[in-house]
Amino acid sequence: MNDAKKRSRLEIIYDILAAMRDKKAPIVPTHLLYKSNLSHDRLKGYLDELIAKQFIQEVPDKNGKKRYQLTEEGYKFLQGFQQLKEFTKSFGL
Amino acid sequence: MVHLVLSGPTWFFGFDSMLEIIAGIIALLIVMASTRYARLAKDKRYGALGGGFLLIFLSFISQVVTSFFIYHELKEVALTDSVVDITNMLFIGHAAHVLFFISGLIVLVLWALKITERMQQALTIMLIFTLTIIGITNPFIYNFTALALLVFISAKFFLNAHEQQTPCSWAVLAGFALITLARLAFMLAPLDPYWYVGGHGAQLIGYLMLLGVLVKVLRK
Repeated sequence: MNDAKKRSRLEIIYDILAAMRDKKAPIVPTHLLYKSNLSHDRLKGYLDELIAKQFIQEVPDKNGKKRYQLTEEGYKFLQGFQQLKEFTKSFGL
Repeated sequence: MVHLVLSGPTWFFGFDSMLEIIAGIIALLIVMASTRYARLAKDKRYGALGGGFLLIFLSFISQVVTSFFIYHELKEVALTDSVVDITNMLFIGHAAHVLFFISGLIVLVLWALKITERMQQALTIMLIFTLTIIGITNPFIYNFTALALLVFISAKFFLNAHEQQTPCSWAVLAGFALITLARLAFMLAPLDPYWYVGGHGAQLIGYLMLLGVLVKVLRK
């Protein structure tokens, strides 16, 4: 729990996107809850933000349940994450 | 009668422009990096950092171009009617340098202090620009305004370095501290021209430290 508190906003976003990448298929919100170690409300906030930024998209499954998958932009973010993280820490962004 | 006041020793005229070109290139590299990360993270804060450094880059360019033309014209003419053009050029170039530099620092201060309210932003910009307009003809006011803004920006980087405890965050703080000290040295230049040389040296080392941070980031 302490580790979760120490995570920066950027690291939380990375964890969510990395969970989607590792799954290699559209992921269900409950799996994301477990992987991201966030409360339901906080996860929802992050997912809304990531959809707005077009890092992820909603894809309903056969039963009409929500699933999420990475977009091209999301993959790009993951690739440049280490540089972005160092830059962010260095300049206090 | 025209007085061209050189802030530093005469032998340094030209060298200062070279040092400003190097600092300007580093500022431009920070703009490019900020733009890249702003696109990647889709976050306006990176754009604000880049915007501030873009204005600082433009201030260096206007200073260097002005110095180049003055140097060139001084070699070509003695005290003829062209002298009027030189003084006009000097004033316009200097005014552009001051306005771009202070504008860049204002953007960085608004970003550093997280001033996002439109009214607060407008008030800050109005007050600082009033000082800047006076500062165009009064180097002390200009340098003092720039120094005050740099102190606020450096304070933000101090708090960040204290929180992050990474070599790069301390290097950014050290770089900005040197750029701030350089402004203090420029203020003291009328007392001794060698303060101007020292100021340029400190400013260059400050920007080189920021370049070092960029290189470290790109190696990740």
